[in-house]
This record gives sequence, C-alpha cells and structure tokens, in this order.
Amino acid sequence: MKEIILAAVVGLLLCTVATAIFRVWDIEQRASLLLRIFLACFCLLVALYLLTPDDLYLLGRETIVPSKPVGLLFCSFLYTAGFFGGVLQIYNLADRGLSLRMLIDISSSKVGTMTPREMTTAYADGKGLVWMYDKRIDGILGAGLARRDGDLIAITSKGMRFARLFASLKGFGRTGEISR
Amino acid sequence: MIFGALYGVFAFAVFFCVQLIFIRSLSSTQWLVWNKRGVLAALVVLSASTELMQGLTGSTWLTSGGWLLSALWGDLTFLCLYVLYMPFYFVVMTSLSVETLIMLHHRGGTLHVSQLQERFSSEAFVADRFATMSRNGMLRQTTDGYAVTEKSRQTIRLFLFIKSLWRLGAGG
Repeated sequence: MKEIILAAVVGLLLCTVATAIFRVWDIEQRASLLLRIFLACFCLLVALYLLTPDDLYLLGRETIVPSKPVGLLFCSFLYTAGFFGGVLQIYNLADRGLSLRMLIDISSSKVGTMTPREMTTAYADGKGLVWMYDKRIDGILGAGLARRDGDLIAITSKGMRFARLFASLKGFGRTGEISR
Repeated sequence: MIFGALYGVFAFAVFFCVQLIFIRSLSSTQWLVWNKRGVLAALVVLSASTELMQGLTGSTWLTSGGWLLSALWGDLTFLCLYVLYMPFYFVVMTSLSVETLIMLHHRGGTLHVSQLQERFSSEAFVADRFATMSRNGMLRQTTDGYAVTEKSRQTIRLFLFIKSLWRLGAGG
C-alpha cells in the first residue's frame, strides 16, 4: 500500500510544482520542463521509498510488500505510467490537440457554428491552419526526420525508418476515422 | 500483492491480443466503444477472479497481503499499461506528423510545402475532420455549418479549465 500512496503523493507534488511554474513564468518548452520535473520528482520518490518505514507509521503489517525491490519497482511503475499516460497526455491534448482546438474555436465563435472554410482561418484564435501545420513541420525538421531545402521538404533516412514502421502499423489497424 | 501485479500484466496481454483482432475487424468508432467496454470488463473479471487464481498458487510470498490487495495491484497494473498503450495507438493513427512522414515516404521522399499544406491545412482536410468528429458525436451539422454537441461541451469546459490553469494560450 505504501507504493500506491507514495506514487500518488509524488504525482500530486509533480502536478502542483508544474502548475506553479506554468503560472509564474512564461515557459517556451513546457513539455521538456515537465520531463525535468518528472525526473526530479522521480529521484524524490526513490529517496522517500527507501528512507520511510514500510508501514508509513499508519499501515497494517499485511499491507507491506515482502520484497523492497519489487515494491520500489511497482511504485516507480505507477508514478511513470501516471506521468506518461496521464499528465503528459493531458498537457499534449490541451496544448496541441487539433480536434479539441477546433471544438473550442467553434464553441467560442459568435454564431456558434463554423464551416470548414471558416475554420481554415479561424483556427486557434485566428492563427489559422497553415500556422498549425507549420508547427508540425518545424517539429519534424527539429527531430531530424526531414530536412528543408527551399520550398521542398525531403525525408531523411531516419524519417524513412519511422515512416515505414508507422505505415505498417497503420496498415494493420484502421486509418483516418478517429479524431483527437 | 505481487501475484496481483503479475496477474494484471497477464490480463493486459490477453486484452491487447483481443484488441488486435478487434482493430482489424471493427470500424474505428465501433472499436473505441468496444475498447471502453473491454477495459471495464477486464477490470471486473480481474478483480473477481484474483482470489480463485491466487488459490492455485502455493507461494505465500506472491500472495502476501490477501486477495483484495492483490486485486488492487492487478487493476492498477492493468490500468497503467492501458494508459501507456492508448496514447501510442492515437499517435500512430491520428498524428499529423506521422501522416506527413508516411505521405513523404509514399511520394518518393520529397514534396513541396504547398503540396503538404494542400493535404493537411486545406478546407478539404477540415471537412474530412469535421465529418469524423460528427460520426464520433463531437459535432453536429447545421444549416450554417457545424456546431458542438452537449457531449463535447463538457470536454471543452474541462480543457479550457486546464488551459487556463496552466496558462497554455490558444495552442493547437
């Protein structure tokens, strides 16, 4: 039980620290900052796990895991999954979710409705879809998956490997119908 | 407790294999519905069968803490694996960056920026996205275009709160 309690407490601490930093400072690379907070809190989690008593002074003996390494592994797993599957996903959706942004733009428009043509310019408080796609292209270029040569975008060998992998995965599943 | 975690991994492996069959045999919308039902069913079955399965193992080391704690560990393990798996699925299936790479790959490796923009930031692209969102119940078509549904209003409210809390700006 100690594992669940510590993972939850440190996870909550991560959210609180991230929220405080986001509210006080204007951060450009928020995802990378989140990752650094995650790592710092992870160190704290390990230290807390090793330094605190197994029963946390309040739990029953039957709730103590018979192996400390296994307990630490489980605790780390809960915390890591909570971050990568929870906090980081919520951040990504809130900050980059395409469909979510479209929903917000439609609901905040004067008439409450929007045509596809209107959305191309109204997207993200009037920044437009070209701006959105430029951000994606910048991300691809920044990751070294493609390179820009004037008006041309050329895929790199690294990008080609990813493209083959993703194409085969997409080929296995369904495509295009799920919006995010 | 340790047995519960191992049982959770096993249950997720079974769930994942069933998912692979469903991904190929159902439409994406149907798949999402069955995905949610599958998770709930898996959690219930996992909890309900932990005591029985624990009884089959003779190890007190694995089963220490009793079946209730084992069930909790099992459910948590399953849920953690699930929340790690789903974002990966969505990235593969819906990411524009992934689609861009695949399009480049299929078109010989090089494209003009305007060709990519025509595909991913055009009116036709939005129309296609709106149609998908309508099928998923997030939008409804009106005489003037598309409007949000009550279902999506709740999502909008939640994320507007998060955006405001973290001062994320327009984003997108």
